[in-house]
Amino acid sequence: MGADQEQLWVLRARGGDPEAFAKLVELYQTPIHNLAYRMLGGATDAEDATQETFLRVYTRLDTYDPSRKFSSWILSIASHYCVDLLRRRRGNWLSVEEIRAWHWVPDKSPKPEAITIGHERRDSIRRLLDQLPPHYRLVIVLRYWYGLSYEEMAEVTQSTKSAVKSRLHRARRTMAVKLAEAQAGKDVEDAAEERRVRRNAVSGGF
Amino acid sequence: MQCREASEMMSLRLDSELHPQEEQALLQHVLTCDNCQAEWEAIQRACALFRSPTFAPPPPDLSSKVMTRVRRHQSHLATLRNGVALLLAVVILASLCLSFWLVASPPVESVLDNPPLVSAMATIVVGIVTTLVTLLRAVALVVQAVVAAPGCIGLLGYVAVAGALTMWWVRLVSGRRVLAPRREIL
Repeated sequence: MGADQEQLWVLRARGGDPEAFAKLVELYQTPIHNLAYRMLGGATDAEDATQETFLRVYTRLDTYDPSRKFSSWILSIASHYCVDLLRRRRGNWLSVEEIRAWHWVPDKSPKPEAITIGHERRDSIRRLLDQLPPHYRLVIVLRYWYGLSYEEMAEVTQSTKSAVKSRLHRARRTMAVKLAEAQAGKDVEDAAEERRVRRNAVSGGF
Repeated sequence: MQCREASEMMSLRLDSELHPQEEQALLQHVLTCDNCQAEWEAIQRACALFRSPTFAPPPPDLSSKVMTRVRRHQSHLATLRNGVALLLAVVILASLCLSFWLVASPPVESVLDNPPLVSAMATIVVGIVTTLVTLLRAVALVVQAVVAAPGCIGLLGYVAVAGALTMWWVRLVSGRRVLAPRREIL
């Protein structure tokens, strides 16, 4: 499906053609639903957000500028909605200062190449994303799931390229800190477990 | 190179946005600075999780739910628009009728001049009614002028006004027939 076909649907939807709008919904439901799902974390929330986004798209079709990419425009409406929702929820996010003051220690866990797959990986992703403030979460999702360039991300988030760069940098640093923190916690647990096992073994000897 | 600068460059490196010289400089720094090396590894480890992410399929009935909501929104809008149009039409028709009546019958004030009626509340009512009557008289004057115009010009004026009103009414009530609920869309 070409961009021309898409523009045609947009124009027809604008003129009040429901079938054209249904085509656009069909085309964009997966990207919008996934953005909402990554941003909000819950399936129900994601579904509501997708519906709300399309309703906004429908009522604002008149304001769409055809010289822009439709995908950027629709993603920006969805992003704005999700960020707004997350801000109102006020999550327990780390402050920039806390991240900056982090002291790095060499991590002995497996190398990045040997990273886990399947459920464990999905849970780690979920946990990491949940701990990011809305704007940081957004750039990570746009970068990794949508493969957007800095310019495209700036357009979708309605900010500048340098703002996008700095958010990406901070987001990645925050995630690295969180992962290192979790790893450190796990190390302490492992050590305690080891001590307990050894103690049991020793007492079992008598 | 400062550690802070290196830290910022790490993110650019992951997006392949560094020049070869910058990349070399970053590598040099990371190799000589333990703290930055640990950070670089930690960032790589975190970002490796996001390699080849997958799109979850949306719920199967999502698009039909979306269209149902859009349609409902549309019918609410139509109801509101019809309501406003109906109200406007009633007001316009009532003023037209009243203006005809005023031309033919004596002014309303004579009825309201009756002293027992004039209480504190009635004064306010009389004020409002007087304003309305003045407005209606103005309308009546226009109508009279049209009626007084020689022959068919007056009639043509009437027809034009009635036609314009009807067209406007039809357009407001029917509107753009967007998303008529009976149509099967998906």
